[in-house]
Amino acid sequence: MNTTTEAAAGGGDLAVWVRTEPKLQEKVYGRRLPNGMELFVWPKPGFTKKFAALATHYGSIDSHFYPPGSNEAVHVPDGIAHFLEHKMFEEENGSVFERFAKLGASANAYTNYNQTTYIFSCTDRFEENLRILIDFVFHPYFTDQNVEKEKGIIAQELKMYRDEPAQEVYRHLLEALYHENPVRLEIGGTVESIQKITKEDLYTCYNTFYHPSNMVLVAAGDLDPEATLDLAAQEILARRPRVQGEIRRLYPSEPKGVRESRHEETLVAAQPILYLGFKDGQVGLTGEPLLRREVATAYVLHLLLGRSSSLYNQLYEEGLINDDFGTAYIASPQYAHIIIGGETRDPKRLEQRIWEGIHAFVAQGIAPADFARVRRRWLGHSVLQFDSVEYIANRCASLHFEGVNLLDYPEIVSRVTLEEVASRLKDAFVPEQAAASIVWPQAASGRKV
Amino acid sequence: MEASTFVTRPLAEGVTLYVRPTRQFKKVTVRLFFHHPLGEDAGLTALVPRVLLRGSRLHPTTADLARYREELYGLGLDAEIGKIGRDQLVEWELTGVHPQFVGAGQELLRQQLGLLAEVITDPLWQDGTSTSGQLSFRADYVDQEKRVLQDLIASLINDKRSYAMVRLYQEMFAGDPFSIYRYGSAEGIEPVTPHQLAEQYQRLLQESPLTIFVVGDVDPVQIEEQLRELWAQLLHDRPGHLPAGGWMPSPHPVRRTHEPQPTRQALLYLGYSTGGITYASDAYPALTMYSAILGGFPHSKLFLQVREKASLAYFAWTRLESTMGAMVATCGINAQDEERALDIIQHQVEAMARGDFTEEEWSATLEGLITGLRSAYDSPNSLIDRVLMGVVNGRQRPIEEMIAALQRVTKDQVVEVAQKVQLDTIYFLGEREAQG
Repeated sequence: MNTTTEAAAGGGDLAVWVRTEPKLQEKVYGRRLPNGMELFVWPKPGFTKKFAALATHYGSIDSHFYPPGSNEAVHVPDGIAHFLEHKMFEEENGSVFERFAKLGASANAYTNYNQTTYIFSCTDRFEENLRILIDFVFHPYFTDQNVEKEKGIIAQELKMYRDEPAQEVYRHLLEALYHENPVRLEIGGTVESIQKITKEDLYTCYNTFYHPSNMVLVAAGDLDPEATLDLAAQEILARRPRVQGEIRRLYPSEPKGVRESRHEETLVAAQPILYLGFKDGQVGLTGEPLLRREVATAYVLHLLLGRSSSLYNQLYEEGLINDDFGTAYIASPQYAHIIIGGETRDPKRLEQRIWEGIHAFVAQGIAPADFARVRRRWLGHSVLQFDSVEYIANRCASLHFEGVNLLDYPEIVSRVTLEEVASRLKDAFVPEQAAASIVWPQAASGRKV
Repeated sequence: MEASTFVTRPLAEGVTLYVRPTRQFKKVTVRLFFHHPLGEDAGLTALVPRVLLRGSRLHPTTADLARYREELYGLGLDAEIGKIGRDQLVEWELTGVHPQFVGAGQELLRQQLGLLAEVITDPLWQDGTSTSGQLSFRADYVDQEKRVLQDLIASLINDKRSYAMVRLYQEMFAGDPFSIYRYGSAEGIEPVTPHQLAEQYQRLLQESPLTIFVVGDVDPVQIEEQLRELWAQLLHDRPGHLPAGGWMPSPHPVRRTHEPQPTRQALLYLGYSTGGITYASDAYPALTMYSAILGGFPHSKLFLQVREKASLAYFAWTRLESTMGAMVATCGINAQDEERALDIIQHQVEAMARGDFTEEEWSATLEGLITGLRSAYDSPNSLIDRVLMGVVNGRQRPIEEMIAALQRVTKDQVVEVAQKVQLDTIYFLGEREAQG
């Protein structure tokens, strides 16, 4: 594919760049602000919705760090990044939701292991909404009272997730796979851990991680890119003109091997659930190497257990799996693991059959024809992702923190070779790095439907 | 933004094609709906597409089909069972990349459309049965799909909120076909034979009204020609679609059901009758405003009162079941807060009936609804779902018309709706402390 990068015409501001992918018919404008923040605008002519995401590279795993100007590291309560996300919506004069609502926009936010993202969606008055987004994310307002009030709300949110068997089996899998890495903890913390959170903790985290140099803004929709970049730059620089010091985060080193090779528990569920997990022995990749590893792993998983694989079809026909079965690879510079599983009538037998399938696959290797066919699938799918402004903005932000421009994604996918996939297959499934998490159903109390 | 959303073409009696030619998307979306009245045969109907997806005459195994879809650049081909009012919908969905983005020729689109026709109309029959005159699907596929569909029905309990919604409707609409779960019941599926399934398949193929949608960079005339050629076996006359909604409960005291379950979060679901107002009613825009002011947004009464003020819940909202003429209000709480939450919700419902809402609540709600409606232009599926609602309800409400109608709604009309809304059923899922 041809990619061209040039200074945007007309504006005369060399800080604004534009890149195009003619074959993909996509274009992205960007600008790096003097305070270190990156801005992206994806013009999507013909789209009605206008969407923006303002994200900070700060998630649930960042609970041990040096506050700015301090030489003493602090350890904040688990779940604080998510708690902070909730509290950002509160202001002196009420809720941020109301400011967006007046303009007919809908706002929301989400926190994951690595980042906190604030989003809004509108069809009209984008500029005013963008001003509100920037204004509220750069304006913390925490009081003892509003922090206390939030505890009941978040406790309900955490309880809701814990009533989902699939979430529970995943949570226990991560607890089994990892000794130390904070990815083993719930993103939102626990009902107990959030009780300890104070407004002072929230300000400490805010002042440490909500730095422009640690943040990114992405807008997508039928927008004037240069005007949008100008407006965003002006609003952000008015609030945070300077570069702030480097963020020093502390992550525990993760030993090789798993903490426990299996975890079993009983709860209200339709039938047993098995998740097998495989922890990567080595992490620390960023940028294109990380993305290529993600894609190569996805190939491995699809060739091993996708709908077109013989193993998937055998397991299905043997009555061991159903529509719930799936695979995933979750990777970041700090942790990475494969998950395989779903509902099953016989978790022990399924576990055994998956291992047999893995050994056979590793022995047999990957046929070039299978690789070529799955590659076509990838090429198609990497294009379709550009049909949604939400997807573009959210994915552009998360890939930016990994060191990749979303526009390069289809091209990077197409560069992944059979050799890369074959070599990934060899190190993907190490027994010492594997764990199983099983949920057994409690005597069902649900009625027949 | 294009105001008229679809080009409409009747292809036969009971078969309508809706095409939206647009360069907006890199994918081409095709959806095909067989409308079938919800009834005792719901499980049987739900099995049909599952067995068809296991293999066709030309691609006899699931792996063969999956490999061919990969060749077609990861063509999405799936079936799902939907339910709108008393319609059970057998839905087929095709999502393929437009040829120009993968350097493929126009034959790709033809192959995509052809595969859907192949799976639906050229199935894999059990060997030998066609000569005996008794058509039958492969017994092993049928058995496997019966098991997986039964799993799917049972797994509803894993999603407590969906489960609670289904259970509320079962209580509220007891005896009405609407209370039937879209996949039927495990017991209903158990005795199904491969031959029975083949008969149900043929009934659907011959008699069900069909609604077809295509959204993407296509030419409506060419698409019609291609469908007439590739889908010829589907495009024959059938009975037309009959409206499948509406409900007027006979007067009764509020029903209250408690289902004990050891959950961490208790779920309170309140079912209301709208007093006969449905999607097809002239008062539907006023009902939409009513429900949204009460619980449609984070600025709405329920979110502010139950969550932000009382700190009882993470979610609190209302949703319309507009084909039937019902509304659900819900929140997730600690079990001991049941009465308090119920009280707050009822107070807000009463406030609505008194016309107790502000200019700000009104305008934010109206703006929010308009944004939601217009956002559908960016999603082929949302656009399709809207027209489909119109088909099932016998009244189309195009986006811009609906917006204009919402803008004309008056406060008095909303109060009038509010006074018709009646609490019908209270459903509570959770571990309630021992009572009296």
